[in-house]
Amino acid sequence: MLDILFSEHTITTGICLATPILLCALGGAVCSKSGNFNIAMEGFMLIGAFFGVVGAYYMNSVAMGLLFAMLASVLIALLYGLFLMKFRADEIILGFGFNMLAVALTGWLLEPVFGGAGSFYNPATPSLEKIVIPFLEGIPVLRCLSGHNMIVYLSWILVLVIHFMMYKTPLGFRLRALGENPRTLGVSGLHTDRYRYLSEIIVGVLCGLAGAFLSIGNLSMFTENMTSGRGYIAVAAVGFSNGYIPITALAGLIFGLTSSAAIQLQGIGFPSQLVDMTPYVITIVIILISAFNRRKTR
Amino acid sequence: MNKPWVQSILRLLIAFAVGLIISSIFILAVGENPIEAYIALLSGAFGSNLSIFTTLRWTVPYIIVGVAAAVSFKAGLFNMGLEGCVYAGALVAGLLGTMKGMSAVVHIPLCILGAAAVGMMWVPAFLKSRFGTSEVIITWMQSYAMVLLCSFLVTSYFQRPEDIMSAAQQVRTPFIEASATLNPIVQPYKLNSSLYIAIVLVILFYVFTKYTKRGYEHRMMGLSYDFSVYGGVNTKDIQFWALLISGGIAAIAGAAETMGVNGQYIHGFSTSMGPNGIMVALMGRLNPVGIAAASLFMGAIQSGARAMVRATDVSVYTMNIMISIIVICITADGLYELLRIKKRQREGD
Repeated sequence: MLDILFSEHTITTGICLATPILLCALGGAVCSKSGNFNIAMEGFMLIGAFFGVVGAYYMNSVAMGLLFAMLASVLIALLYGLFLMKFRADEIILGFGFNMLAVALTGWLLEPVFGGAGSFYNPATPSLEKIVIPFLEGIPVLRCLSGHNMIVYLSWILVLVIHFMMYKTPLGFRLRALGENPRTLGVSGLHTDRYRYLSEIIVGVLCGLAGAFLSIGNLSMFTENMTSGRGYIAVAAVGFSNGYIPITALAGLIFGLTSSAAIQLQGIGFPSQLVDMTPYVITIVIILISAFNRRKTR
Repeated sequence: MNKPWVQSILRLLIAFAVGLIISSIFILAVGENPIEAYIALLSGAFGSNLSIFTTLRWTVPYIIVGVAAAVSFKAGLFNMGLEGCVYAGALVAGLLGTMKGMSAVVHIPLCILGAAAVGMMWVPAFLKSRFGTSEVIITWMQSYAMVLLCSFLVTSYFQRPEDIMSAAQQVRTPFIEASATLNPIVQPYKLNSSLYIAIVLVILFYVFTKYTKRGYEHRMMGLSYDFSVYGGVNTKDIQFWALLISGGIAAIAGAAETMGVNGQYIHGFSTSMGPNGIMVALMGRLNPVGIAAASLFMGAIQSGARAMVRATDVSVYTMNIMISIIVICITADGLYELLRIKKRQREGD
């Protein structure tokens, strides 16, 4: 049983499962640090996934799919930002509403756009190609890192880039200042809202990528509510890392790997419902542990 | 004009208007007349005896879950995990309901209280009050886990014996005894005596928030946490009990579904009652009367949407779009002020 759990296959699948969560959580971390506890990532991602397929199918190109996914996701994130800042809605309720809206909107659009309700699959639609890193192929465990599509590699680069941006550039300092105390930005003569919208654009791009990974990453397909709670797990990753990006990324990876291990367990006769439960239970356990730890250090 | 309840209703009307306008656009987009579609919806919800009772039948669980959501929201806590409580409550009621040889006077309260006890949000309530952990994520995750756990428990231990041999795919428990059944109010229809439970809960909620000291503290904590700490309110205690009671009430909704409508636990019985209950609470602006009205609205959509889909080319999603737009607009105070400022400027001219 252990050799199944820790096989290379588990790691490869785990990396794939972690990618959308990682990307969303990254966006959520930026939002969290700039003072917006964003729970609408699930919705942004779903919109991204839908328009990813739309772009790939109608333009017959993966690049257009990616572009569509990111554009759509950024637009909906900006709309979220508009309601958050201009209309001062409550962020939790707003996020809840946007997640609902995304499910309803993509469900509604499926029929006029693809002519069928529920799901869309057309084998002719292009999807992202797998990239093999030649020198990794020969090394036993490390070869799991090779053979993924471009978004997977991009997500790793983005973790570094965004961490660098948040902690080493003036932009990052300003975004974090926004989360600590928005007035400091105003006093420095900067537009608070511009930086808030910027953080929404960042989360939009990242969730768009995550959505595209789901819809055109492997097979090109879209099913109703295909994000199935990944955005919420990303929220959990942000929540317990408190928006500190290295921990957020690690959390995303842990979620991916444990889900993958659970899927392997299902293969040897573990009940499927318990397998599906793992990400949620792990989230609760991690939150429990961090709650107890915080108490101890205090 | 400046009375709080007038403002409250105005805000609600704006949110509904925006929702209606946007869903009308979606109806127009498929080449249908929005007004005809809404008429079809209304006649589907209130057109005949059957449809009125079906609407009321859906209104009842929404009222109960709406009160559950309002209890936590009123204290400024976001219990997002009501769906899990609904399922847990339904399963517990379904299991306790199969016990034989009890009189209805004992059996019904036993099922309902048992469901409420299991549905209570013990873990989030403890974590929130003890460590200040955010309740949003943990209630949410717990809810997902609970729904799956219910499905697992039924398939592995409590599946209806007749189904195990047959090829039935449904995950369900055996039928409950007659002593645990909530009987229909008017015979052929599914509306049952859980209506009275809903009414009692609404009244209790009203009395609690309006006339008790505890309710005042509860409300103040929701309005301003700092103020209530300053005023010497035991906030941890309120947080703990608010989450607990909220989950317990949501579980009663599930129990009522099992005991009144289905007669057994059927996995997937809930038409996302948890999220809908949250919306009902928000649309009712956490006000008891508002919650009842919003539940009726949601119940009407639930029972009328099918008639609308049958009569026109409008898809069910249109209604979901409308509801989500309403939720998005409902806390957006800026929308309301936008209109007011314009009006004030006009008056100034």
